[in-house]
Amino acid sequence: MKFRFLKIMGYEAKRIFRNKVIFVMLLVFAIVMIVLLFFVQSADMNYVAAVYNESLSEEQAQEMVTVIEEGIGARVVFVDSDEAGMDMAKRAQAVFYIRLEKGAKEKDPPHATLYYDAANRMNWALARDLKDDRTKIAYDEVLEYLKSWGIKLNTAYFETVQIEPLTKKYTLLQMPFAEEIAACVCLILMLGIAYSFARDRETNVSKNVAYIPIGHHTYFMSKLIPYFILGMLEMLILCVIGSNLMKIGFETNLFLVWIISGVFVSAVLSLGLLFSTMRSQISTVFLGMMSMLLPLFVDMLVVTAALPTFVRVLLCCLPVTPFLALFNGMVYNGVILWQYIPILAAQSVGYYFAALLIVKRGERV
Amino acid sequence: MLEVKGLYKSYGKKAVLRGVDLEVRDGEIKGLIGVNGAGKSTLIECVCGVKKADAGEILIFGKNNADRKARKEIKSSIGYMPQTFRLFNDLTVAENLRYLCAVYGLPKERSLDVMKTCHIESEAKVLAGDLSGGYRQLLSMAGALIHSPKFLIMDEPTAAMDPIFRREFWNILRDYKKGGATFLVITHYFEELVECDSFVCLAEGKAAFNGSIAEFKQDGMLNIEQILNKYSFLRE
Repeated sequence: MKFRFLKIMGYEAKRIFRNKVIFVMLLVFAIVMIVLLFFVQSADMNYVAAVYNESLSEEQAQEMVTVIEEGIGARVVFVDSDEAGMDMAKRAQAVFYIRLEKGAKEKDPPHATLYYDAANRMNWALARDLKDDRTKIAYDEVLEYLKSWGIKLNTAYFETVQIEPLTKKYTLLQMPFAEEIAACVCLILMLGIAYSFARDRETNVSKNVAYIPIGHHTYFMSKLIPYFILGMLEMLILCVIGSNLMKIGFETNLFLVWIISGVFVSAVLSLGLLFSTMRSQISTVFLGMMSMLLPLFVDMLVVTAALPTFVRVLLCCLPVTPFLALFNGMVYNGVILWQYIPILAAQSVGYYFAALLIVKRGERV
Repeated sequence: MLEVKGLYKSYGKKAVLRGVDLEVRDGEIKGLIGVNGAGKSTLIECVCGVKKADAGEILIFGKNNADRKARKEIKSSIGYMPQTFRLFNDLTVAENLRYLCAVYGLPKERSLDVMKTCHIESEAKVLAGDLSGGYRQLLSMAGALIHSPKFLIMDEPTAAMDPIFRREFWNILRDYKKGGATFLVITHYFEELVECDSFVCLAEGKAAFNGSIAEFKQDGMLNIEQILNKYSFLRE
């Protein structure tokens, strides 16, 4: 009985890595994808900012955008909206979000919440600006502007303290590194593990498990652990590429970033396991894709922290959301947002046991 | 060895087993025959503890398989050979058996013995997915024998086999029986019942016939259709 679990896991690992082509694809795909995206994004450094500023037609701009101030090669704009939701004040490349309640401006005094999301970086251009004191100046200017406008500032979501440790290591080649890592890891691991279980179900191997003395935990874990090791290996390679090839300034020790990313990898795997319990392959793939794309898209469009609470709670159920905040906070600001670690850990455990429950419910009926 | 008393099982409103009684004595080969949908596989699933019976009792080695702890012990001591191949296509024959050795906590050398028993040593390094239908079933059989069980349940083991492999299969089974093992074999082939000491014919969720092939012939019956006709009243 010695090392029983390790032996079983060894054979599961053999099954994954037997097909050399697939194994290389699993590992190399993430690296190729991240390098490719890096070159695409760094090809035109003004691309992201240009789209942001120039996507509005002149007419729309006149209607919606008020240029508050222009100076030192930067400007503060206020995107006006009568509806409840998010307005944006943008000072140069630094993005501030002002969330107004409906009719907030008519209130006396008007109320607004200012979000400066230090952890959830919008684009590389923001990081470029963060490298000097202009962000602090911009922040103060926005505050002044709000005051002059009669808006009582509620709070900055991430307090000014997070603006303080600005790094001098930022390069001009910043990119949405965390988003790309999240996409790679999710694509490979979540779909990989979901496919692995679905394949066993299709070939009736999982049925056989009910007839032999192998527990669910042993069966699940023997599959999950090799994928976890693969995920951690991939994460390490991606971090090393980011740090060395892309010259992304890691504000936190790379090894620490890698270790903490482990909770994300396990959350992704548990969610993949849960999706694999779906009866059809198509629903497994669809759910896998959505769980990855939804938080990525949301984060590209708005700062998640500035969204209404119920949306944030929903998004926090998907591993990508807390990972982006955690990873960006660590890498770009040297801040470990500890609150996201238990969220990811809870996802790992929760999704695992949810999958276990579904599998057990399907048995012995 | 196995005692099934008044077993009932239904899926929704459809009653599949309607009070099945069955006894398999130590050292015998018991056949189980019946048309598709007669409830053979459901009966096996209930016996193996994979499905929960609505009513009735199943005793294996004198232990009631409704008890969770007993079920765990039963699972470790019986051998099950499924109708379709359920081992890993992407592992070799030897690796599949070594995997099962790990599951049962046996030394990996046991895989060599069982490969010899089932005459598949020549295929040891072949991926299970590349095996012919006959060899796959022999590998399944080897998997069921890996922990030297005293009681084997086989669900249509020869369904995918040609006559040569089928003969091979029965030879292996007979050799293994010499060690005192007991078998419950589901089959669709009437001629295979000759190999069994006795058999049960399931019809409409009940044991329509329970006896030896000699008794069966004494009743003047020659094939399964005649049993079904004789016991057609069970449908009512």
